[in-house]
Amino acid sequence: MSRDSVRIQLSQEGGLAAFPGLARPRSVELSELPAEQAEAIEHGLRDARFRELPAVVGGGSASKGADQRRYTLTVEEGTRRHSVELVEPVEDPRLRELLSLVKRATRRRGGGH
Amino acid sequence: MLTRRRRHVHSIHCILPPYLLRSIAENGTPQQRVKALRTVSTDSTFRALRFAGGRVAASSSSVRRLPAMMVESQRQRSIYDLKGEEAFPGTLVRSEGQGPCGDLAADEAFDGLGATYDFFWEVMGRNSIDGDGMPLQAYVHYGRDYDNAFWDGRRMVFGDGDGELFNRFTIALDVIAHELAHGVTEDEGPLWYFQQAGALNESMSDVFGSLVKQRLLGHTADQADWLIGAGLLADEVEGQALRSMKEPGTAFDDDVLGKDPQPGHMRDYVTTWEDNGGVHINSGIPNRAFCMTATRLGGSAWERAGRIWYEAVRDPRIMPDTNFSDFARITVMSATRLYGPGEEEAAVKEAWEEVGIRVSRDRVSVPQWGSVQPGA
Ligand SMILES: [Zn+2]
Repeated sequence: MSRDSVRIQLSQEGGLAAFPGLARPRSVELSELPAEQAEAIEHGLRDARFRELPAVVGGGSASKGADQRRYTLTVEEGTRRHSVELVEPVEDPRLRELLSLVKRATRRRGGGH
Repeated sequence: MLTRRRRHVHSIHCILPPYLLRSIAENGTPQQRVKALRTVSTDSTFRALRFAGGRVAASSSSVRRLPAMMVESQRQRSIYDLKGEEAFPGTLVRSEGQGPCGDLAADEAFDGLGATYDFFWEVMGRNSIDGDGMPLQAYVHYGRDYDNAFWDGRRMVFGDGDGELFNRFTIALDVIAHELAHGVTEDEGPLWYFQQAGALNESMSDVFGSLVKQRLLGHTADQADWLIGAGLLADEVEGQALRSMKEPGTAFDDDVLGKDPQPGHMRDYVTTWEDNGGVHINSGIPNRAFCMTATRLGGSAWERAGRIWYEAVRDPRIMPDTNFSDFARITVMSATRLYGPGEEEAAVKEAWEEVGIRVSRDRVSVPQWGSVQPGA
């Protein structure tokens, strides 16, 4: 697939405080990123089998607890769009790695939309 | 109804501060000693006495005597290092009685839990999260670049921050105390973590979080910064903290984090489905009511305002869907119960009125503020 057609979007809610800027979906075109970073994300998506994941992943059944967080990660490739809600704790290390990469990519100052 | 909760067989609660009771238990005459130990009675009995109109007069023969050792602190901390993983249990790096382990986050967590335990024990007479000496477990270095701290129902978890937006989450004592206080609120009450009940839960954690810090620093209500999480935002971020209890909505205004969304008045109440119905947003309203109560009363906020709020969260009338108005009324009743009708009761009432909630002797009302949905 050609890199310039891939758009990644991340939003989050919950956590110790409410940050409107982080809750607002932030997206980035892989083509806007340095090649190394874009490749790492592509690898991450493949390793985590992101495109095959169900709509909600992770989280316990706990009705207890406070300040936990959930993320919504969306990948758009042309007309295809896949969205996954990641509820903490995210246990799959490959998924955590992907999340970490996407966070960095979408939160660059001046980056993201 | 008075025994809606089944636990707390040994939990200690009393009006007299524990250090005083301890001193009486150790040095008093045998009769004084028996009285002191009787005062340190079980929750339910004491609660029943309070509602029967008694104050500290725990003279009923039904009061269960507790062993003298119950008057001792039972601080029991364990800090685990998750080493960047999100899988428990990690490695135990410091436990009670041990000196610093050299890991900054672990030692901060250890000290923070200690200060928080001491606060609840020495000020509120509460022995740990469950009132029964529950061991305190904190997990540090959770995940990589992890920008959060949370309470998962039995333990406290702290991330290292990503360094760009957030520093390590153990850097702020009030954040550590905030998480531990979630355990206390959860143990005490059935508050749902949703909408106004959830915002009250959040507010209780901020109240106790701030009080623990104020007490450690020796700050009066006037001297306190009333910020939650000062030092947690990285240098590059435009902001001073996560929240301001004194001036909700002013803690940060940053191009990445956005602007602090907290209201400080019912007219600005935010109706949303996000953030569990705005639990970290609308908590600004009860936070400000607490700050104003403490400021009106002056002196150390934990002494009167703190005790009134603590009494309120322990009140058996707290329900899963308790809203701000219900809670306001309960704090006013707590003030009256603890201190009689006087400046404390008046300060609490006035503070709630300042945030748009009017509590009269018989009822509580929220004037209509535009699009506000009281009792949401
Ligand atoms: Zn919280």
